[in-house]
Amino acid sequence: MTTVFAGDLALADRHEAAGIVTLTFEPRDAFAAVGAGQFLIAASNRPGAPPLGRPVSILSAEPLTIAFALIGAGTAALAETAPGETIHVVGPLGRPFAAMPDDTLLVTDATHFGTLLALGAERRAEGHPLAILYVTRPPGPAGPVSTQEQDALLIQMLAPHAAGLRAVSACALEAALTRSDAGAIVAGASDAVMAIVQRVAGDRGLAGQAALQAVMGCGIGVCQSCVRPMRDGSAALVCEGPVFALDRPVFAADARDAA
Amino acid sequence: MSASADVSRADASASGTADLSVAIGSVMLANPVLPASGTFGHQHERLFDLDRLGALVPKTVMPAARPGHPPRRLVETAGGLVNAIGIPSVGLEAFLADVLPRYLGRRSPVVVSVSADSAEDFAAMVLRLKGTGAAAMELNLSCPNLDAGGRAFALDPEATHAVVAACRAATLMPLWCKLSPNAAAPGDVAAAAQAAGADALVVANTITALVMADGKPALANRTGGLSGAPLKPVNLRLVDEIARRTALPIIGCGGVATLADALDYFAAGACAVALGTATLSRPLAMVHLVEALERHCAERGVTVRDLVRRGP
Repeated sequence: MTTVFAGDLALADRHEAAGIVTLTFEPRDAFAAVGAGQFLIAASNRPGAPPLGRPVSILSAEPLTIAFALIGAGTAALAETAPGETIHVVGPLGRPFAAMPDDTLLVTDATHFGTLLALGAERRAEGHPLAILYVTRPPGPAGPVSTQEQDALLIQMLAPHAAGLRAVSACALEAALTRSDAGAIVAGASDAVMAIVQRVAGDRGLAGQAALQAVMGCGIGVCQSCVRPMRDGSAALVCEGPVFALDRPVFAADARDAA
Repeated sequence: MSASADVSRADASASGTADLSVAIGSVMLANPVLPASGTFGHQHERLFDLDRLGALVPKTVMPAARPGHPPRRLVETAGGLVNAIGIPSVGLEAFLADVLPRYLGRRSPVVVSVSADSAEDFAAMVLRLKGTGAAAMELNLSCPNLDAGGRAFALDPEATHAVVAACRAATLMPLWCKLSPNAAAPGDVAAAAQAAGADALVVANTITALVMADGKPALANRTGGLSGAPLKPVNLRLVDEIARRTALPIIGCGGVATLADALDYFAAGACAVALGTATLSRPLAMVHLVEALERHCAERGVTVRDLVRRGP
């Protein structure tokens, strides 16, 4: 059984723009072999800081960097950490993405950008960047900014790692996927988007991987709070995931059909 | 203060170590820090030596396998968490075959947490667990009592008495009753548990709570149990009341994260503490608390038992 690091990491750098916070830590050997898809549990060390119910994707191992959107009190508390202060982390957790062909299409939106940004960066570093399809949101608020502003920033963050990046609305997603010449799909996005991706991939016979999220308590498979329904039962994300075969998860948009 | 106690304190002070041992009835613990059931597992050995804990308390086991509640099972709120995990279980036989062996054979005693839907099923479980290596059994009485329309055993002194008495008739093993802050008269429930033969009390479980998200319950089960820092003053009050009603050893549970929390529970009458929510995001919290208690006692030349206040 692999060991897991649990302790305080000192913050080396902090950046915030359009409601997206990026934190970079002082180096730590425990995270040297992190792969895209893995994550950590982070907790602010400031007295009285509220707990954060979801884990945070690891963007890169060297330097150790995480990124998240400002959503509520937990992320706000984490975002207030200043360089030199420490954050309590547990990780690395979960299983990384499996190998994938070079003609894989990466699909993501604002909800899962961290995980797929990590994958995009990893593939570019290996010399095999992937095509990226970013699904934009309807106009509305996104924490302290608008969805358009935040989507624009996320597209800007993804673009350098892409072998071509295209942004589409959810309405245009199915057509874009159908016309794509991808040989496989890797996706991490809202359930509504994932339901479309799963269906089109199934219709076209495309293999794929799905990066899932769940509220998570312990991160090591004890509390069983991260269970998500699968077509063959259920799975604890931290133990078997967070990356699954694309055809396995039940996404909310198709929950009735999958019952 | 006895001469032997004076010697114990002098030795502790001189060596820089401290006597953290505590007796929970007939079960001797090396230190008074335990995990709350549901928040600890053998998986923690990836992070620390499990023998650092006063006892090992795996997830509550049910008679038969069950999946637990559908997701969403956990939501954060008001500085704590509300959970409706639903006690997923592999069932008792699979627990005995595949799970319990992962905990036995260590220095720390194993406390098996059990729950069931009837007093009869509770008794059958404790009978089955006799001789399997468990040092004690925690009776999780917060499960619905199907013989009483689904009302949790721990809400009623009579139902609590029935379960404990049935289990006591089935075994002489130590029985620890986990009580509920939802009870209208927790002192009466504790007294009933004692009268029926309980050896210790775990005070207490989570308190029923509701969290809304976009105008709808956040959890699939609608309500869940509130835990963490917001629960501490509630359960601390229970410990204080129950410590004045019974002479049973009390394991305080609810919002324990730091040395200050543990000292508060000791001052209220608990002789040990169980950590739950704090362990989720900080899995080394229990180990750090043991270390803090060691320093605290060594600096003052006291044992952990000197920190416990019982009586009116």
